[in-house]
Amino acid sequence: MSQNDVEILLVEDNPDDLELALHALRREKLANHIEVARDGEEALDFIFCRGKYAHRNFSHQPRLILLDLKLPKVDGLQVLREIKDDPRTKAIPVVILTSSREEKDLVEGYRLGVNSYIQKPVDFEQFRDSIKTVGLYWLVVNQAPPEEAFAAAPPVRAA
Amino acid sequence: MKMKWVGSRKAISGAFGLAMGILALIFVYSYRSTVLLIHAGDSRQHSHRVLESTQRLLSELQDAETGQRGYLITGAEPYLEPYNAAVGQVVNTMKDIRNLVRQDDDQARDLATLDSLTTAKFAELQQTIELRRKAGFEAASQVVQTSAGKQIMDDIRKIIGGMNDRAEKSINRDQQIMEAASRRSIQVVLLGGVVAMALLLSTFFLLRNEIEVRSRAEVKINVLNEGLKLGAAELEASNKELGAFNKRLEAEIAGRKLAEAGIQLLNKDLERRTEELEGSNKELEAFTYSVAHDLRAPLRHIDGFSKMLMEEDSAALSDEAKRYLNRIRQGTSHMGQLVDDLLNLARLGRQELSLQVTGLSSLVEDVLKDLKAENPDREIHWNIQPLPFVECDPGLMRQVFSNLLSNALKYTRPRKNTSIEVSQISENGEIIILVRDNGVGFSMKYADKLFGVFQRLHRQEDFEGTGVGLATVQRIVRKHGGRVWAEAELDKGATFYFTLGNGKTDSSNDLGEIRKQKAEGGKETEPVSVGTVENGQKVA
Repeated sequence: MSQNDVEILLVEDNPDDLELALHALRREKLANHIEVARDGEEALDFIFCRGKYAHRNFSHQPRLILLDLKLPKVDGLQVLREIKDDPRTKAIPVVILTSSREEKDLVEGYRLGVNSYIQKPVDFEQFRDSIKTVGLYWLVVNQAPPEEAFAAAPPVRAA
Repeated sequence: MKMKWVGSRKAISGAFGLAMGILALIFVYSYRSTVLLIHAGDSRQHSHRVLESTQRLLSELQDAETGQRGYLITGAEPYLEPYNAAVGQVVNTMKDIRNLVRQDDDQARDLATLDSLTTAKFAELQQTIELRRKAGFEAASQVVQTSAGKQIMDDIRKIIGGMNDRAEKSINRDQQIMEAASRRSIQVVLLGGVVAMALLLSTFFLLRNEIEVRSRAEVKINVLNEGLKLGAAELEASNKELGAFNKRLEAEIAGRKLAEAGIQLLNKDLERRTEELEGSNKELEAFTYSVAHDLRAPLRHIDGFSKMLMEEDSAALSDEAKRYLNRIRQGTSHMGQLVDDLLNLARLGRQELSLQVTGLSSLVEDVLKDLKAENPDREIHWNIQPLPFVECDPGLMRQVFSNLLSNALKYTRPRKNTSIEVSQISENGEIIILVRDNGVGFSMKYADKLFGVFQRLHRQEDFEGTGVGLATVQRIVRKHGGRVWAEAELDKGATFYFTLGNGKTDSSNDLGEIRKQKAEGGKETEPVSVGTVENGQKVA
């Protein structure tokens, strides 16, 4: 992967949460390129190379998506659904990062195939620790899915 | 009735048949006898006629002789009258006899002989007559004296005698036949009559018995009929009663229908209210969701930026500034805790108990593990007694123990030797669980404030806490149909007691309903321990 590749897509609408998250990520120096999407639509546009991201190379997907749930326009679970429904993007690790620990969000998230679910603690240090752990795990410890994991195209095209 | 022979149809038919048969036989026999009799009679008469004829013939011949003799003697023609008459008569008589004996060969044979003899006799007579006429008396008398004529007459008499004998024999035979036939006829008739009468009599008796039996049966039937009539009368009376009863029933049914309608109205009302309640519940859930998400976010920000401030500009900040920032962070932390506790408490209200038979001891062990891990430095004397297996919601009960035990830990912190006891006692058939500590205790004066929400009996700087822990414990215990209370003495320690209903149910809580539902089809699953621990307080 080239240096310009997005390693983390951070989907967060709240500016404060966003700043805190970015701070935490940068502090740990886990990623060089973090892309930010401020709502669900932007996130999907980015992943599926639409709208203002039409120029993007589809095959260069982020290694981790940190997804908040309460998003304007398209909400987090819908974004998750679309990512996990499409075989070309299904393999991208998605970690839900949200203040909600409502049972129904957990249930729906996991049913849609989320890779991990983190509740944002109020305590900042704990939050930082969580981010560090998550980043470390998914970007360093975890084996990234190889290109073929994103291959599965519609049946018309030969695999 | 088996004592008399009753005439069954078969018997009677048989008897009559037999009688008929016998009569028929008698009839046939009589008929035949009578025919026989008649034949015999005819035959006898026939024979008599033969006798008569032969006698007549003889007499006629004798007349002829007489005439001849008279003429012979007198020579006077008038004396020939009998002879002349006899000539003709004999012819007729012979004809008669011939007719009569036509069918009897022996008689016919004799007759033939008689015929020729008769002819010979007349020839002889005529001869003599002629002779007298012509030759006179002397000539005729000479011929007579030859006895030729007498001879012929004797022969004739012999033949006739033979014929008569035969006829008489025949008569006798017929007589015998007739007598025999008559006798037998009478015998048969008598016998048959007797037998028939006997049969008739027996039939009569059979019938009479039958009739007796039947009349007796009839009597019985009449009695039964009377009984039936009575029964029918009673039935009618019952029917009337039933009719009245029916009317009452109908009235009651109408009443019930009204009640039903009323109930349906109530039900509709209930449904409406349930809908409203469900609506409220949904609103509450949405509210809780919002609170969870929206209240926490700003707290996070405050905390985050404070921290960042402290870290990044620590050089620029005074110690005082840093202290303030810490207080800010503490404030947010506390509020976060409050939010979580409140949410938990609120959720408890809506939550349904998921009952399982749970070993309370294992719950306590679990909680202790966490507490020990969080307080590694403390030396605590744990006195954990065996606890019973009860039907409860394990997750919630864990919260109860967690809250009570962390309280115990918290309020024994000032003590050098901490001792905490968990055990059970029995009172009035109830099992009571207790958690006892030798901590700072409290004054029973404020005991009723103990379980109030946000109520605290200690200062925040002495003992941290949100004042929700015991309220949560009370709510959970109450949900199980039990009660919780405490006893304490300032500076001596406190004991918290609780029960879990123990099968006694309170209609105003969920446990009764759930126990009922469970009884109708529950299943046993492994008790699951849930929850994490934050800041020594239970967070569900």
